[in-house]
Amino acid sequence: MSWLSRLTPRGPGNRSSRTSALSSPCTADPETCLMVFDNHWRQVSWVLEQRDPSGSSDDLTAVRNHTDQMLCLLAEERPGEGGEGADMGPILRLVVTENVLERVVQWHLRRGLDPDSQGALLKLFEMLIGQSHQPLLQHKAVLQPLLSLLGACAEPQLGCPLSLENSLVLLLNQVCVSMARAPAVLELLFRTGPAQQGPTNLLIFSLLVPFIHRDGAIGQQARDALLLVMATSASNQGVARYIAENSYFCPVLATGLSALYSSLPRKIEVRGDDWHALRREDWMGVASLVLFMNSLEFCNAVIQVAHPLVRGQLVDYVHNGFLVPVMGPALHKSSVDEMIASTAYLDLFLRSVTETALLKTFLRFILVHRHDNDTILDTLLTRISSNSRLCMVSLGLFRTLLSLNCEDLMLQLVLRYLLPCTHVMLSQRRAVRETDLYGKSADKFLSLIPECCRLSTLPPADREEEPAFWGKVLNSPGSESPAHPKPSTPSRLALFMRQQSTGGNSSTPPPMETVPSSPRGGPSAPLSPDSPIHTVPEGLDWESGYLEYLRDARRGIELCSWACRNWSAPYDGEDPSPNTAPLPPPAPTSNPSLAMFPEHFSFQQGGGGSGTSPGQSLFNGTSSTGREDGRADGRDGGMEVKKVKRDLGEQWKPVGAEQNGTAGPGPPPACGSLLASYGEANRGVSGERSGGLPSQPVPVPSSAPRSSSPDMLTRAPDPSPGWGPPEEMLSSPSEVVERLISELLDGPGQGEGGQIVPGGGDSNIQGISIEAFTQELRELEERVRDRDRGRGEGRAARLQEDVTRDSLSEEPPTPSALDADLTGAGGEPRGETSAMGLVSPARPLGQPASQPYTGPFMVVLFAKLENMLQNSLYVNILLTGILSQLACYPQPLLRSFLLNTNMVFQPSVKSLIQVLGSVKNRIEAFAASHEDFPAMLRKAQRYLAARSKVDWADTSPMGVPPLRRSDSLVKSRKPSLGDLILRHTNSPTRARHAAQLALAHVRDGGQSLHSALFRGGSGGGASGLEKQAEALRVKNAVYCAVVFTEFLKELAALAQEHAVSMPFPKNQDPEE
Amino acid sequence: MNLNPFWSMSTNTGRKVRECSSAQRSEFAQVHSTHKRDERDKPWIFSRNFQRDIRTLKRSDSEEQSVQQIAEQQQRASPSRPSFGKKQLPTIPKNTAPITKPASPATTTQSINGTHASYGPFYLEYSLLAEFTLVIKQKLPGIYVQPSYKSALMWFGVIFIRHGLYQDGVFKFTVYIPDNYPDGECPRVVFDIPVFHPLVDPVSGELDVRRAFTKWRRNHNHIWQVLMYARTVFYKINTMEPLNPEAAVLYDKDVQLFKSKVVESVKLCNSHLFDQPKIDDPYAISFSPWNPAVHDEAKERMFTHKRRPEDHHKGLQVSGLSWVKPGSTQPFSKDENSQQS
Repeated sequence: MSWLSRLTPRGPGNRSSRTSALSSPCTADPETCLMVFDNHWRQVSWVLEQRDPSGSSDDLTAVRNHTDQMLCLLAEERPGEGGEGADMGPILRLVVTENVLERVVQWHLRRGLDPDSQGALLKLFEMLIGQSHQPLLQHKAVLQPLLSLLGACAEPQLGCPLSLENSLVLLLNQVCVSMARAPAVLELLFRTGPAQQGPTNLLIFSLLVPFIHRDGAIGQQARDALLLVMATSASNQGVARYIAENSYFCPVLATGLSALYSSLPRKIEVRGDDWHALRREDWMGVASLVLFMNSLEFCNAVIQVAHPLVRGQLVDYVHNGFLVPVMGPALHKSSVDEMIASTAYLDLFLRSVTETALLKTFLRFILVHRHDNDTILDTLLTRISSNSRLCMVSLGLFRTLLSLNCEDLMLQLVLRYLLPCTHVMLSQRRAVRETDLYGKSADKFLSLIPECCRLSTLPPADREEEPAFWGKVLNSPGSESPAHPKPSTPSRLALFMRQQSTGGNSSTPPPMETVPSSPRGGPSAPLSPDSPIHTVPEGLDWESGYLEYLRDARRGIELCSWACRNWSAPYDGEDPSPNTAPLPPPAPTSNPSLAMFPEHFSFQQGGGGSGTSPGQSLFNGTSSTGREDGRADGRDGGMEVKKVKRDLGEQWKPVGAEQNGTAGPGPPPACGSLLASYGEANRGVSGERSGGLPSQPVPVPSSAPRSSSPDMLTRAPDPSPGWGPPEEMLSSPSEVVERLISELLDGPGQGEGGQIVPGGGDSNIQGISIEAFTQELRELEERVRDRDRGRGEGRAARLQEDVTRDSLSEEPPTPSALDADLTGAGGEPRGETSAMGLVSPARPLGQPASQPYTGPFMVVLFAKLENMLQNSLYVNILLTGILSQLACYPQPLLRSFLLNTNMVFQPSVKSLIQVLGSVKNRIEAFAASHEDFPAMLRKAQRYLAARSKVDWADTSPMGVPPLRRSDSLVKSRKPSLGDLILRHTNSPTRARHAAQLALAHVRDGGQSLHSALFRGGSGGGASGLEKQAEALRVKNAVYCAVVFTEFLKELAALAQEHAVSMPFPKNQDPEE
Repeated sequence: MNLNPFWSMSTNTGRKVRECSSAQRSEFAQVHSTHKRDERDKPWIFSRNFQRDIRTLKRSDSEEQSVQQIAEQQQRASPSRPSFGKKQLPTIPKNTAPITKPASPATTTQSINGTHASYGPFYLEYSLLAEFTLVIKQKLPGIYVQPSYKSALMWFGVIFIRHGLYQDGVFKFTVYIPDNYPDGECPRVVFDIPVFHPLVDPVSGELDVRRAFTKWRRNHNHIWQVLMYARTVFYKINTMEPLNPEAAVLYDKDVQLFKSKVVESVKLCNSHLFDQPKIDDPYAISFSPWNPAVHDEAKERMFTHKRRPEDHHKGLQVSGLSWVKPGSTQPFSKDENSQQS
């Protein structure tokens, strides 16, 4: 921020024009000046000594004239010889000894200060302080009258008339500037005050505070002045304490943000369909936003320079006075427009804040604060799965977040889900740290490039086709449009410049792109100034294009690992240990009420029959001892459920119950299929639940639940990480089964989950377990379903709980022989973990039950990615950008999850390579069904390459951080590409209608625009809308093919570069 | 505009040296008496090879050769490549002669041995680069290697023996990595001067590496292990199936004589320390007597050097934040007081 530069005090020279107006002709020798001064003073003092203070206006005029002259002389005077200000000049000495200023001011005050003379005095003092050649303020004879004057301005009855505000602020500003030059003055100001002013002893301060949020120059001067006070007081404990405890500075500043925020537009007028983030030129024209940003920048600057006490208080106020009460609800508004606006604002704020402490507050708010039981992060995550604009804005926000390389954020977002290592097959744990030494993963990624996208060169005949179809559609006014519209998608687009296979027209050397994959690739990540401008040869071939990716990847990884060098742990699958990692919140399959679990506790203890130690629930036991126990206790749970069912009758008979009958303790194959369906079921559950239907454990067509139903994630993970039992119950069985199967395959002797319980080497146990598990799986599912339904009908749930408790306490389940056996076997580890359970409540409840789950972020990103073919170009660009940002992170847990294609994950865990494979198939299917695909693909490539050039050209004044770019507003007013795209129906209204339709669908939680529009089609007489929709669908798919291909190269390059990157040593000094 | 793929090399060589230098300062000085300029330029070797590959490709393209042939040719070509006069990073797209047309699309899409053909060169380069990175990370005591300027398949090295029978020995060697790495034989290690050692061929100077790596297994065997082995043989002497039977017999029968022969051999090696490198290569390791004018400054630079990302701009944006207490996995668990300012 430019605040520090503003701290440079205004030099006296700035005012020369005014000086000349006032200054007396005598710049002669000091002697003469003193004589003139003395002369003036004698005449003034004659007036002052008159008894009647309310003298004539002649008196006033005389005093004013003389005072003007005197003060000019004083200002002009040079300090005496010998030492820094040690010697006062003769005039100043006279002023001090005679107490000239005080007497003049007091005379004015006595006779009643009219606005006119008040203004004149303010100006005089401002001139004096601003222009004096010698330090004045440390003299009480100057300071005291100044404070008297200011005190008058602060008085409620007199106050400061509106017309004088400018003078007042200017004077205060000057005082602060001289104070910044001589910090001792601050102490004086502080000390001198109390006598007169009581609690508000730092008068300049309390006078300035009301102007903090003021618009225009006056606000700016006030903020500058305050900032100077802050900076000067940074090392002054007393003043800092005063500011923090006795002034309203921090609350005014922070709550002012709230006030300003509330005047921001609720809806952002969206220009292009590529718009996804507020750039400077977007908000420069919005007065309310400018005002807000000024204040936010001021907060940031204050935090930068102020005393820790003030900083701490301000940060607290920002959190509690702005973020929580205003930003939180704003983000949760129900209208999509408001969601879009608030998300874009938050993104803008995050990009503008540079001070660590303030950023911490924002991040803490996002990560920790709960609004209606969900963290802000959860809420934001759900938005990614929405359609169109909201998704893009949310992706933009996450891109900003990821670029912070913040450990806490990454922990909450991804790493905590990977920490327990349950997503990996046990045998694969050690592979977590392996890198792609021989390019195998890279090869795998590259092999996914669809055949139909590999035609990188064309027969010459093809090149000179008619002007690109895409060009026509996209630049609809045609090539005559004088200037290229500026895309607001990140310069990542420039990556397509590499693929200018169609060459031909690229006579101008396209410059190198701006780090598309850079982890800090903001909307226009500045190109490093010293980067060479590469000429991309025409007919670029794969290799050199790939080389660019390699270089970008190296840079991205290097910057990221540099940024992460001071993280608390390497996250390599060993540190933090997967065994002690608290279990992350499970997949959002259900949303249990917390009250349920304690009841189990109580029952369990009361019943006492199961042999689990006190303080441990059924599942507690399970968790602590690993899979055998899990099974045993799971069985207990099953019994429990059965009883509940019996007691309740068929009333709530779940689907699972029927299955129970038909499948019973099914043979392993049945189990397998069930398992397969499980992930799908889980995915779909929330949606179905909300409809009040029981979820069916039958395979759901993969497209249905995954297509972006906004509902899907609105059921965010349980807010309290530790206390989500029923979710875990639900997920537990499938995981247990998977684990069992995987272990059967892997061979005996391998523990799983957080607790390693190698006791399972007993083949006997394994032999019987599948059937048992299938059974338990069903029972547990039913139980959870019952719960869930119960929750839906509030009273019923209560009733059910009662029944549960009653029935169970009547006949506590008797552990089978097997159970007893197992419980015994696991006795020792259990004790150990129950101790751990105290530390982290999540653990005992969750451990065995949790199904491997890589977290909502990954799930939603992958779901979105899988849907790539339907996504708009801009969504895909943002999406792949975020994924490659993630893939830059050097932490082995994350790296292996994304980039190690040889890794074997648990069946329920979807890997990136799987998702990409499915996209590949879809693209190939699409290409096969469209004869003209190759031609369209080329056009798309050509268009993107051309556009990236525009993009680059526009962002070429590099080295300027995105926010500070002073692009002209005019430029931003130009119709954006997106406008033009939408205009291809030649009807803006219709385009708008289409956009509204899209938003409406978002709101309804329906399908994406495209699918919604196209599904209905074909039957009718092909209305314009349908044609348009079909064109959109084709366009999206073709663009997707291009982006997908480039993304694969990007990933391959990242995999290779990770293998050759060197970590940075920890705790190197962050700044030199 | 530094685009080299392993920027880290020089740094880490520096760090390694720092680590050793406390033990043997002279050692350090000697190693880094190598070309100062080369030290700076060296990391670009791999980029250069990229360029080479592309050029090869281009040639083959004009000759309408298949990709397989290209690969073979390029491998054949590697040892006898003319050295480039100007050591400068090839800013690839600019300097590379534009390839008007890569191999026809059909060829491009072909896969050879399961490898997407056109990316093949990257894999070998990166595999070796990755191996080199592993060597650096291992911080092998007393061993320094440096890939040659001309080929990534040839690495120059030197090993310092700090105690035992071969104490004070400074042995230069060259590592030859097979073309078909990592699927071929294990790399060969040849000492510049045949050291008197049961496992070192008295004529060729080649160390018997294969006995330790009977079958080179990718993913399991790494070049740093070979280097480690090359060091170990001087501390733990094995006389089984020797390449130098005389040394083996002496060690078993007459240790005193063996010892004196070893001392002689060490002396001989050290007396040739300042010789010109055996292989003419800008990155070959050469030694020179300590020259304060040259070496003091270089040493100072190495000790004070701190590696940072290539285009690391300060103040661009805050990043790398962490408030996680070490040992915790909870966000914002760090003590407020210890929070970074």
